Amino acid sequence: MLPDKSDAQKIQKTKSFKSMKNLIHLYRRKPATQKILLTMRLTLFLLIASVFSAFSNTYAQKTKLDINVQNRTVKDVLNEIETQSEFFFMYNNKQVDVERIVNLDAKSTTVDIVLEKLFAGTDVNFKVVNRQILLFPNNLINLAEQQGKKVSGKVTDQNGVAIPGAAVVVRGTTTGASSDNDGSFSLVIPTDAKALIISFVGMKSQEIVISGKTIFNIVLEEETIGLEEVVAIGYGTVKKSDITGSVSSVKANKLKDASSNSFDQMLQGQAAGVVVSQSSSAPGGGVSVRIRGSNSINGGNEPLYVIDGMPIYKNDGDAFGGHDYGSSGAPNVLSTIDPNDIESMEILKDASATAIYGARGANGVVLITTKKGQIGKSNIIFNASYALAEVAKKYNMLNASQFAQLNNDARIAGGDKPLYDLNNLGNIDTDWQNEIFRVAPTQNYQLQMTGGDEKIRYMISGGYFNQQGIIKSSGMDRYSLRVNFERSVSKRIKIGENLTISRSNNNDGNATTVLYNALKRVPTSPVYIDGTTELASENDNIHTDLAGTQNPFYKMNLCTNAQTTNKLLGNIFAEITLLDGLMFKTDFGATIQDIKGVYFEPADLSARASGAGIINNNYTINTVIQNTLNYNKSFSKHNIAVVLGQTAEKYEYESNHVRGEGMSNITTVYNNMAGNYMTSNIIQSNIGGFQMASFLGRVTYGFDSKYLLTSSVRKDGSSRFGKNNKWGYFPSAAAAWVVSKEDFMQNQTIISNLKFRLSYGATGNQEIGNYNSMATLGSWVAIINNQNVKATYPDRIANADLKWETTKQFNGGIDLGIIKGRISLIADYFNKTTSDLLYYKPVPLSTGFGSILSNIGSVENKGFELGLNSVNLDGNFKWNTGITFTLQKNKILSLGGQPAAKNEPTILQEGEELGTWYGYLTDGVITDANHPAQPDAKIGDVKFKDIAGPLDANNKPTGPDGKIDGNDRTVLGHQNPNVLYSLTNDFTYKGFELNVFFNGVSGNTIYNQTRQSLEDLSGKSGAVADVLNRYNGTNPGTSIPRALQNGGTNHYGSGTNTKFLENGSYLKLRNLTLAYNLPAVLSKKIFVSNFRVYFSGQNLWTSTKYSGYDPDVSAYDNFAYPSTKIYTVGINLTF
Amino acid sequence: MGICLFVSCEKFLEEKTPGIETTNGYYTTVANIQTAANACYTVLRSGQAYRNDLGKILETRHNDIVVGPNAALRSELLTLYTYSLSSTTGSYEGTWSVYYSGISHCNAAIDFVKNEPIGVDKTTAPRVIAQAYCLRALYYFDLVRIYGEVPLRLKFTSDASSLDMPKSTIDQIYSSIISDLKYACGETSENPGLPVVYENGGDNNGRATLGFAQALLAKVYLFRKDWNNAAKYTDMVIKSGKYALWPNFKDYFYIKNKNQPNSAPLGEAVFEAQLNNDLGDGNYYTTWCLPVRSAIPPTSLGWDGAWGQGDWVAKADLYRSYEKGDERRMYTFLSDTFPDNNANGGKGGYSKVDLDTATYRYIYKYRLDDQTTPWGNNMSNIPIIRYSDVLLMYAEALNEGGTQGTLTQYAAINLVRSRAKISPLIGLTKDAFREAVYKERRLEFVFEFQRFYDLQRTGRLIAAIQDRVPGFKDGMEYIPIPQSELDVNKKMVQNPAW
Repeated sequence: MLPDKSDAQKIQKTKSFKSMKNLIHLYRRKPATQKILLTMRLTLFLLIASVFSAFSNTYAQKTKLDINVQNRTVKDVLNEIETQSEFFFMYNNKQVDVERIVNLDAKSTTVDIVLEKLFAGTDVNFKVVNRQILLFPNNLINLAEQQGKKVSGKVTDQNGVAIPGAAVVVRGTTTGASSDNDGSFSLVIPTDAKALIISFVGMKSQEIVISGKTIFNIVLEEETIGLEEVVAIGYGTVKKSDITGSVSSVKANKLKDASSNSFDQMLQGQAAGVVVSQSSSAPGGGVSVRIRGSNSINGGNEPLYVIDGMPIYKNDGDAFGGHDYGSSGAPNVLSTIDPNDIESMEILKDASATAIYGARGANGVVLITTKKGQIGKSNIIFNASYALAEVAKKYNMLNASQFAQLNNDARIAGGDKPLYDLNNLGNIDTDWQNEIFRVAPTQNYQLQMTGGDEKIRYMISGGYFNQQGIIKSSGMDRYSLRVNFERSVSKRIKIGENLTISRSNNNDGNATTVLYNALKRVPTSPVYIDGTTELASENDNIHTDLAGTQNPFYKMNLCTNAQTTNKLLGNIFAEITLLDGLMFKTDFGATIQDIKGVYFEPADLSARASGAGIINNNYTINTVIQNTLNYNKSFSKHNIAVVLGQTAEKYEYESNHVRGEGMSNITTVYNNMAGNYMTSNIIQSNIGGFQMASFLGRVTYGFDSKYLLTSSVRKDGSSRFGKNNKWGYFPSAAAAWVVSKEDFMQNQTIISNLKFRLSYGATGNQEIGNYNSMATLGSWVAIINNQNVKATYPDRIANADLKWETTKQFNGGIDLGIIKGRISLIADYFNKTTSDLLYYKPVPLSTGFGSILSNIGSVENKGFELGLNSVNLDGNFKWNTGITFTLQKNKILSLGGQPAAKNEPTILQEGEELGTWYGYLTDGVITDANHPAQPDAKIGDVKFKDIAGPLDANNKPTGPDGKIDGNDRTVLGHQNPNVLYSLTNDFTYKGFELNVFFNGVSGNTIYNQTRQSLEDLSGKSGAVADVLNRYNGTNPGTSIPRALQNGGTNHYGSGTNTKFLENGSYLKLRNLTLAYNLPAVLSKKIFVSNFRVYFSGQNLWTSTKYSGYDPDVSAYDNFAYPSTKIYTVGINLTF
Repeated sequence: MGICLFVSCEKFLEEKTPGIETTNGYYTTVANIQTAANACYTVLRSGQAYRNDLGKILETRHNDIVVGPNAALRSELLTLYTYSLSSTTGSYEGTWSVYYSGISHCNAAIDFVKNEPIGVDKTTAPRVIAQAYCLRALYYFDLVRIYGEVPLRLKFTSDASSLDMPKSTIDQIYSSIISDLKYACGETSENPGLPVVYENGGDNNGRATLGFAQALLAKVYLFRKDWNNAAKYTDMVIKSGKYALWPNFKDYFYIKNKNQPNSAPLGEAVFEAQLNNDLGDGNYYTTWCLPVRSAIPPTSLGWDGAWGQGDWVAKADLYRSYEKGDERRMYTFLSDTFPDNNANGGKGGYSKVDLDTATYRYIYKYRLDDQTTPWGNNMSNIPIIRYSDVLLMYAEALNEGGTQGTLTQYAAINLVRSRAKISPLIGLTKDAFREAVYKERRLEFVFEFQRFYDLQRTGRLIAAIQDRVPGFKDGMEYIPIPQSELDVNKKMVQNPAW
């Protein structure tokens, strides 16, 4: 029996359609249920329909209908279906002709078959979603067309790439459409519509005034700047406008195009307060990162790195056992991650931001978020680049005849006969730098696939990177694969993973030894004997008296020094929404790394007569589990967010070292140690690790987005801490006032954002090493009956109080936005005091020990940071400028009553900075026969300044005592820059982009140990051309002493002295990139949605007084790998 | 891991030490406590003690030896020679440190092994402890004679609570030494003491024995002028029958005789600093005492042209003090015994010289006559107490009034004299006998670190060196306390003479 339909009809009639012409009317009628009319936008409905399609068909498949009607209306059939089942229909009766008369016979048939028969031959389509069935015409748009005004257009991003799935909505209505795969859209809008709002995930929304136009080409900008941007903070994200702490955010597009192999290098100049310096410019070489200065003497100063929420324990020392032959810097662990996979980096600087990382937050935190797939946007991206690197600068060395002259002078001065016949030198004049350097290529390829829908998001990327070093023997390559995947299992549950697997081959190539030997090798010595392949040694009749250098090609061509690193970095997680606003997340991650380092040198008379080989294996595994509860709730003007969490972490390492000397076989080298007979061998193994357990909590409260409060606390327990101090608490609090949201600010248009921020809190540094609180045992040998026997004894005093270093930090900041954010400025002042410094405090030797590791002393870092972004021109020609500026000052406040530690070349002394040079002052050369302060010196020797004598009876300093000795050492300068700045300018015009990036530091000094070694006046080794100006009796103003080969005493200051301490300030054109984006019309023709080519140059220009290869080097420059200029061409293709 | 929420976090946070040993739980097995006992001996092979620095401190400050003309260590030795020492120069911080680390090893062995119940072994643990007591006594005995008053640390420093410690008086230190040695001799109910001979024989050669503990205790009493006890404990060693002199003086220094029995099961060495050549750092004194740029035998090993240092040479007076026929002279100085010297008319720049009139008399006591490895690593042990020392101490103690035991005082001294192939003594006055013993010691123990101590304990030091050190005053026989100890140990004061 058919039900009465009048009620439903009545409702349909009462709701007539004006501005809802292209909406369907949802008509639902069930016994015992209220009849409701719902309106819903078609696109939205379809969207939801697809979300739940996974669950929707079970009922439809199970439910069997029996319909047998003759000459009844469609509406009657629909009613019959509703009666027999729980289905109900939704349709617009203006679009679906339900009065049509039909005949239908279907027995035990599913609903879709019934409907197919019912609407066969009509333009009516249907969709079954759970128990709802939607009826709609195929030509919806055509239908709609008749009822309003049709507009159309295309949505693209800044590069002209079509954006499919962008929402185009008429302002103030729910009328809208989404763009198709080409980014095109068309919709019918009410005649009175004023504006369209176009939005897409990750892009800034745009509002376009319609004003009679019917075709719109809309370019969406990525949501990179602006206050609505979401940034990662520890264990959560926050809108930039709601930040209370000091956080710098660096987005991926700022990082592209640089052919760096490691993301930490890319931080250079990107954020105020961050100092990045290159400890080695070798491929894969280390980088040192300091956030707001150095806090620690012995506890390490590297920030904590957190990748996709997982803390990464970066301790090269543990991971790499190292060996004592040749040079081999530990490879940069972070270089195993492909920088192209990174979406953004956030640098947490103040205590409010870092305290959530507790005992590891003191040195700042770098959060790295890798790229994720985006809903509705499927891309295949291919990036390729090819770069050539050349040495940025060379030392100007003596040539053969200049060297021969020096050698002769030096020998004559020492009372020997000259060696070289200057008129008959022969034709050997080796430029050793030219011999070992090359123009080195770097290749980088990456294929990335991203995509997603409402349920699944993915990012899969594979990369290959190959960088050859400018020192011929060095280089690295890396294969990497990343898979980031997320899936919504249900409305409430999401699971996902992030995974990187990489393999890096790092060929150190003994580069430092090669460089040393090349620079020290005399130019009169050939590479090969008689031009053949046999390497020349120095043991010929001319070069017998030379300082012991090796032909650099011995290490370069015949020796191996390489490492292979396999690394797996990943986490899996599940997010469960327990209640509205309450989410539980559990996250399990692991970093697994194994490094194999090998070394081999064949028998060689000038090096090791018998050959030697080493294998090092290092395994580390770091596992982390994190459970967090996030609660977010807004009620009226109150906003509250709470995070509670628990984490546990375990780090384990294991290393094995096998080394043999006396290897005779050069074919199996280290691969068959036992079979390759050794005269001696060393076998070592080690294992260890630590555990941490933590509890954390954070509450943020905002009132009306004007008054913001954040407070967090973390409780950290670490196995490293002494028994009496197993747990540390690290609280922080911050407040911010968004003045620009106040009513009184609403009548002006200049200041669009003004916020004051204050924070204070405590963080810790747990890098006190493993087992340092325990009474460990050491062993040596005793001799009993002519045999060595193992003697074991406690080698450390237990310190049950040993704990973390504590950093307390105050931060005050202002955020300012002017003219709708065209100019935005962030300024911060910080003041940090680190106390409980880890220090080897001397104990009376009569205890049987030398020192006890204690927490004493304190260090202060304070400074000012400024970040400025300005949109200078906005339009077809765009010009953006970014500036960072940092002032910082470090001071040792206390050494806990301990005397200054004078460890030339540095000193630790209260009132001075960490990293203070200590040594002698020089004063030209001695030109006066009467120089009693340096009784053994002669005219032409380096003159030192006599500034003090020994302390007097009251331990007070005394003045000059007429004698140069240890008392004349003094503070010479500081290692760390106190001013840092950078300037970025971005220009875009049509498809062209130009990026120019400068950065600079000043106030620092570098000890140029390389030059000290190369300003060699003995004539026994290669020397810099500066020595041409050596003292010769006629140039009293020179600072270069006389040539002297043998017999001199006090001839030359080998100690730390001002002569080799140089100003390390520099200004660099760090990067210059010119890119061109092919117009979309053209790129389409080759089936590419975006085609970008670029050229970039790195390190093209440097202004500095530093005489070494590059001032961007560790402060103690001891034959550091030279820096390079790099020229890169590359393409980015998006399909 | 994540279970930290549910089970004990404290357990999770315990530091796990699979790759390193800590004091916790180590001292529970026989093999492990044996290594703790071994650690008590490390001072003996240290360059800062017996193998090198002790020679500097003890052989430079008496009157038989002068700093050689070419001494590599000349300025360092001259500060000792002239007693111009200070807390930073000539305080021998390294020696101080090594002795106290040895004491720390002994204290650790005593404290930890006493506290660990070792059920399975009733012999090893007490023996480990007894060795630790014995060596701790030796180290304090050296310290009190070199530095005078020093901190008396008898507990292992296990935490930061007792780092600063004042000096103890010399009497307190001696009473601790005596008590430690009585413990090692088994005179307490707690511990049976050291064995006379270790059961597994040769493997333990070089460990402290009962004979050594007794001989050392006797020596301590001799220093305390307790003649009865000195006589008593030397007599115990003599009576044990385990020791005898080698027939010839030179036999003692043959490497083949190292740790070997002679007519008695334990030979002549009561206790020695054991050295070997495995680590390339054997007995340094051969190198230090031989002339500069000398090529030393055996050249057949291809070690031609190794270098002596000429750091110390003997005074003529010492050389001339030997009686005619005294074999010791020949085996104490270079010229008489240097084989190539006679055969080739000098190798490496020497010619046969008459040492009586020579400018320099090089000491060649730690001999290489039968060494089969390059001489840079002289394998000779360094004697600490030889049986001849026991006999001479016994003789001296009896002469001073101690009660006679197995031998007469003449029998004892004449055993030493007859081995040196010189005539026996008879019928001396007490004073003459005393002088005879002093002289015998002087000639018997050249460069065995005895001379300085003998002058010191018998009050003859000032007379011996006052010409050389006119400003010498009381207390200068003790070298200064190192500055680093004074800086850090707030309860320490410098020795009064400095």
